[in-house]
Amino acid sequence: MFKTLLFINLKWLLVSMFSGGAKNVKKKSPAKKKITAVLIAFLAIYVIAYLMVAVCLLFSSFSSAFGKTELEWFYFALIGLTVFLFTFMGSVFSTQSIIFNAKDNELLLSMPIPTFYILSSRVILLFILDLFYALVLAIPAIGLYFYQYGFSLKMLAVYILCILLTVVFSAAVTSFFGWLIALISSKMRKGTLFQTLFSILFLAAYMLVFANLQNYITLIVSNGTQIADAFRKYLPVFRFFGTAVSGSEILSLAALAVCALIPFALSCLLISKSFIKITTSKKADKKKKYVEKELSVSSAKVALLRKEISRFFSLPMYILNCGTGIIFMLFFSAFILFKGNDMLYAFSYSASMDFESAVPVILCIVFGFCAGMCNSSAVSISLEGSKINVIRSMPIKSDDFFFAKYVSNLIIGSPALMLSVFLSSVGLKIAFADSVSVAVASFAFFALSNFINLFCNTALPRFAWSSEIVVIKQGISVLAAMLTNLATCAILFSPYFIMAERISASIYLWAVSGISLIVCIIFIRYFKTGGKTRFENMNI
Amino acid sequence: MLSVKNLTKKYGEKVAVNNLSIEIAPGEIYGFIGRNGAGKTTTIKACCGIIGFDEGEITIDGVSIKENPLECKKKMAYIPDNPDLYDFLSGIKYLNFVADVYGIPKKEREERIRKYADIFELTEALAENIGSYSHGMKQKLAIISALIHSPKLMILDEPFVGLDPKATHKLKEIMNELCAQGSAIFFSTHVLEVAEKLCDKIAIIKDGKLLISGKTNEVIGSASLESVFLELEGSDV
Repeated sequence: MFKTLLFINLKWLLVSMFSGGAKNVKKKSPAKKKITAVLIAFLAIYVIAYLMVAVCLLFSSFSSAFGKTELEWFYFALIGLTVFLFTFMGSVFSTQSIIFNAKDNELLLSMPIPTFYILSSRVILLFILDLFYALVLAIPAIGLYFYQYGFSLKMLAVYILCILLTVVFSAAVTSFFGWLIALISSKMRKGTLFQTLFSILFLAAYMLVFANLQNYITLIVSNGTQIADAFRKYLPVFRFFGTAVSGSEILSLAALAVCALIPFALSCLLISKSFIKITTSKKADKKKKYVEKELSVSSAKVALLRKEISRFFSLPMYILNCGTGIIFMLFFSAFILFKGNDMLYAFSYSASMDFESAVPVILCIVFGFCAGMCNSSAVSISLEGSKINVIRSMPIKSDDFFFAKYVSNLIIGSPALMLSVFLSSVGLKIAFADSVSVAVASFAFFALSNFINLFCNTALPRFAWSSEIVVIKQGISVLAAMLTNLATCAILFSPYFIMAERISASIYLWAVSGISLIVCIIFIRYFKTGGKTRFENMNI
Repeated sequence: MLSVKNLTKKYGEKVAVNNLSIEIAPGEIYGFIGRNGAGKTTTIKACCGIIGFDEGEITIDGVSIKENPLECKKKMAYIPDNPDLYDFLSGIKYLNFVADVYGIPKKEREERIRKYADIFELTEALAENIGSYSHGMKQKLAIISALIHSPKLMILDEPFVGLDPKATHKLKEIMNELCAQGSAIFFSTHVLEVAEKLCDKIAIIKDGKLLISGKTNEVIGSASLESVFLELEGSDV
């Protein structure tokens, strides 16, 4: 019974990521199937390789500073801590949706299945998700160490065990937080608001760490002894991790096992005690009294657009995942406003090129990356779910359907983008003409990236899902769109650095705007032809 | 009003609907009966322009659904078998959204929403988010949204599921009222007693093929619809 439940949960996760659920899909030819498989494999390799290179860069400073010294254990403790933080951040919100908000909770609870089985199968699913996140970090981190200091089978075996135990520990902590969020939300009238605020706070903390990452690395490397002492005193779990791997100490390994398994068991016990209560509780929403008012009348296009915007602001995870770019760009521009001159001076001093004249292009690259992460249009088609049949039965033109998906994201992201351009221009004292070119090029790229988002979701829609959060967080269209946007941003803006001596930044940005506009027109043409055909085949 | 000629729909190798033909005239209530997986929902989805089909022709009021789907969809309303609506919208916002899509003038939409929300006793819940509705309330809202543009053709997939007896009675009354005004109704159901009493015509489908169709009294003769259905279901096609 337990194995069946686990299998169903795993299958559900895979279906939510890759299967569209549409029955009316013509069978793909073997050649097309191969192309799709190759593209997905390429995408997966690209993401994993990118992350692994980033991890190698992150750990190279630590490895050089602490490897084969008396603080070697500290290097591994840092790996343990990073694995924990990465898995925690990656799955804390999925925990709530996977454990408490799953649509089949009531169905399973009505069956003669012990609650413990339902919970365990879900917690193991979380463990598998966490393990995936952990491996992305753990493999390059140990690979780097072995590359620099030589391979040891014994160390590798202990390392694998320690990583598994850290993931168990992380699953315990994330389950606890997921339980806490679910419990508070179930007792609050404005549960969604609470989750949104919590998500934003969480993201702000994450960004703070991310923005200061280089400082933290320098701090850790230069004050290794003191920080290692602090680890020894206050973070025993990671100390055990470090000493177990570096010295192959069985006692440390056993201590780590105790530190991971006991919280895990306690967490499961805690959740199982209140699982039924939380999953079956109805929120004590105050009944809103209906007062008849004059109804607003608008066109189908505007009605669809309004619906999209309402949807975006109704789901905290939608805001958090598809509005990340907005928060990033605002954070960045606020930083530039206050610290812009110092940063400009530091970079101009160290850069070999004329850094100051390249500032407009660099700003566009940053805003381009951020705009690529403002991507509600990369998942809004999938979010229709089974409602797509109702939409398809209505007299809605494909143009209007795509317009609403496209423009809603533009409306959500543009004010933040323009404000960020303004703040950055003020902070860096950029000439008015250059500021205009930054604004135009950033907006043109945002318009283009928005088409890329919509194209990816049109090509890879997923209507069969049991939780909106899974399709938002793990949908393949979002990942494909984000990576394509990053690549497009690099392709469009980076050639400037080769031709910087022959062309001004402002002229280059106007040229990029023109190219973006041309590609946008090509996309518009696609949505009127191929996109229309795709829309006509959307159903579940 | 609705003409289905030689409809064939395949999912890969599987033939879901096989050479099916039915005609529904204005003012008729047409019941569509068959066991689970017989091809009812596929036929309904094809009639609504949700899915394409491999062979045949479907016309609504003389307009081909394949060639001019938007014109056809303006004339009809569809209620799916599972009323999965936009949970983040309130009832009134959803109805106004549907009214916007069909381009209903302000006065008419306000009158119709008031009328049908009162009939289905949903007025007080209209300010609430659909996410807080019960299955029955969602079904009522889906029905009101289908009635909001006074469709010439209503296509309903299992419309009585989840409705309380009073709402079921009201829906039957509304269906009769619409037909008296010249609209046509095509609906699938497993409730044979309702089909027997309500429908002018009936079609029974099995494994994608039409077993029998025609006027209700001619199909069932002196027997009951249940006995006719069970007898046909037992026979080989």
